[in-house]
Amino acid sequence: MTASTVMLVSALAIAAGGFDEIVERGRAALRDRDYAAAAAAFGEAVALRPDEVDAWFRLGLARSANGEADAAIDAYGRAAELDPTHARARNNLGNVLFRRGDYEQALGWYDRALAIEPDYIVALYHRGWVLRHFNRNEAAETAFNRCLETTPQSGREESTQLDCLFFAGTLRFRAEDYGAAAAAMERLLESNAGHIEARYYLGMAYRHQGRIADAREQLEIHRRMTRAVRRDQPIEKVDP
Amino acid sequence: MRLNRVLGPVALVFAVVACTQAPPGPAAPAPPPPAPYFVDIATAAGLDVVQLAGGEDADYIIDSLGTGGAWLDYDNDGDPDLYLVQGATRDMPEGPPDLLFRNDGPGDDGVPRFVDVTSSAGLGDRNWGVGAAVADYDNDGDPDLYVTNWGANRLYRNNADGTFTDIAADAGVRGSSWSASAAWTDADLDGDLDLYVTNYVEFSFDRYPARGEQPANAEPCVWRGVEIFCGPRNLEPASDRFYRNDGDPDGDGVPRFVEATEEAGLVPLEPAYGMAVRALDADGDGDDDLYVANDSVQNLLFVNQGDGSFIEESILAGLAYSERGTEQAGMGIAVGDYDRNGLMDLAVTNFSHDHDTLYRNDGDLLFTDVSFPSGLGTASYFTLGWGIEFLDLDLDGWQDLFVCHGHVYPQIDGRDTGATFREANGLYRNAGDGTLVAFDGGGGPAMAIAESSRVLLPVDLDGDGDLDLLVTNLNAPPSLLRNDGTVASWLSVRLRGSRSNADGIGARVVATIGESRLVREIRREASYAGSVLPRAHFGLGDAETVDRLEVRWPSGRTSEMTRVAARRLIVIDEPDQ
Repeated sequence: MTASTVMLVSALAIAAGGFDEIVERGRAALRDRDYAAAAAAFGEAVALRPDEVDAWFRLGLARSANGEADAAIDAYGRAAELDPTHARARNNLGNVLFRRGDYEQALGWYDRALAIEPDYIVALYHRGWVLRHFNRNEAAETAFNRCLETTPQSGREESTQLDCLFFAGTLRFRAEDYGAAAAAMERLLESNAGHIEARYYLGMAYRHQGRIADAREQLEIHRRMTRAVRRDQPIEKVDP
Repeated sequence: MRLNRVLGPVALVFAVVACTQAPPGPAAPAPPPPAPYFVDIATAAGLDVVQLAGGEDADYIIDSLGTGGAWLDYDNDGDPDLYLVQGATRDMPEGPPDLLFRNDGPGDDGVPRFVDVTSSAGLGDRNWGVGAAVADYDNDGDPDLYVTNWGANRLYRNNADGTFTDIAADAGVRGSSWSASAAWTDADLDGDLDLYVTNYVEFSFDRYPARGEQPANAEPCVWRGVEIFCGPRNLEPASDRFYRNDGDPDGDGVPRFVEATEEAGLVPLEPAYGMAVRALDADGDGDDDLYVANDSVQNLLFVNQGDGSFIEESILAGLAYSERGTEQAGMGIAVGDYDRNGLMDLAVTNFSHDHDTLYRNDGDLLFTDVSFPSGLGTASYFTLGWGIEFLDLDLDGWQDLFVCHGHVYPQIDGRDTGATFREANGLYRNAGDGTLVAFDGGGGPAMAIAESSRVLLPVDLDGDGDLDLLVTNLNAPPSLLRNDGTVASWLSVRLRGSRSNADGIGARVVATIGESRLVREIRREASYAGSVLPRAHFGLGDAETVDRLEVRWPSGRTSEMTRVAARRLIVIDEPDQ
């Protein structure tokens, strides 16, 4: 073994140890919501190991949370390129695009995520959300209904299913099917009585049905909840 | 997707085609482009004056509201004159004077010439101004002027000799808050006009720190990663005021307005940041209801009980929130029958990363948010809207929508927020099927102007029957958008009341053409911080006659005319019975 080879192996070994430390530093920063520090750490990590999919993915998470949309797209895109089965990278890439108004592109990435995992509840939710935003209500309802028909694999997916139920109900409302809209919101509120928007839709569905007293009751609850919790609800769910 | 597009290249191609097809000999004038086709003529018209509206860096919330203005025929010569409001800055709290421009008619180039007559008119308020609201409050046949300010407001009585006198203090309408918009309405149907004034925030420079100067123990105010001025959330809301006009009991030429906000039932359940107010007959019962757009909290619908007292019913009416029940940041309000079902619909502009909201009036005091089904929701999602009006800009009988855009945070430029401080305005064609779409022609070169726009004041400036627009811009000269597109048939209606108020404010005018019924209400207030001429303007497509024209006056009296020839302004006097 030549001297230069020894030095190279030694450097790689140091780098390997350093890589794990850097990744752990990045994970800690993500947990602490210090997204700039997390982005810096994962940036170092991918410089050391450019083929490390998870480092690219977490770099995307950090950059996205830090408001660096273009850089986040690059990172998620690299993760997706390196791992053709990485549905989460594709979903989150769609989220970044959505946030800056590239709805059609976002929809494309949700579809790519679903092509890999057809029962990916979070991506189904996002696909439905974008389609609803575009007023493509029939397709949106299909996505939300498929989300509801899928068996959740985690508490997070169960929670997302409730969101699908909510938006499916809102689409029934838009279709002026106020009975179905009210039924969806009632079901949702059984699981989550604090869902402010469901409370509002329920009140307005009752109002459209001429159930004025019931409407007033629900809308007053909604008003009080709104007052208590001035809302700033994010529209997307990042799936780490 | 932005719906506004620049027409320049299209217009050029159109002109070239027209030239190549012209026969030999003297060139025929090129036909006008499709309507609307907006060209900015502000500079040529003499309106190249900066409207100061606060510090350029927007360190305080007061730097954000902008300044408005008003169209009024103050000298009763038949053409619209213009009042422009001026703001101030922290360093110069006594700002430049508000300006009155007299319209001296068109020059050789056809562009109207506006001449500054502020001093000779006895005007020139230097308070930090926001808006203006015109009305003939004393029914003497000339327009008077109310100016909303941070601090004392003004009520200028028109002395009928080209001058004005401020009587706000004696009349009891001065106020001392930070007022934004105002609307004149005959709430109690007694024949004179009452006044509703929106107030925004109880603001002073001493009370709230500047952007970036928050105390060490306070969180900075941040929006999408950008440090910004604070508010309005967590600032003290100012209360709106309603002043009932009790006439001139002493006969001294000074009216008596009684502050009757509480007495009239116009106090909301929760304090609100008032931005815009419009009167409309929301329930079609013949009296004026009031809709108030508030920043960051719910909007309000005060339903008139027929006697000038009101009940707040916004929530049950579906007008308080967005479709999802969320509070929005209401800025401006459009009122019009966009779907031609005979009921007044509403559109409200909101903050960026939220949508402008279109409320369809389904009758029985129930409105449905159709922002997304109409297309407005998606198209407006990343813009911050202010002035907004339903206007038939192509005269096809369907009211289109024009929206002023402009952000409040200059610091967002260069940041990845999806929005910019200066934005092109929005223009939507009413497709007649409930949707709002882009105009094929894009609307002309002026639609490419990117400013931080605020107030929208439509007017038929050149009397050609289509609507021109004045748009105010933050810390910049206004844009005067002359509509040079093809002019289809039209009719404009002005009312002269006798038992009702002098301008017929609150009257409902219905034009019937074949199976189509076009409904308008006579109003003075614009969507935000401004005022317009009290006209019912109808686009008639290719109809040269209105089959039947009906007026329901605020007094309850009615007028009816048949076979009314189009392409003119007609004046209708209130009948004796």
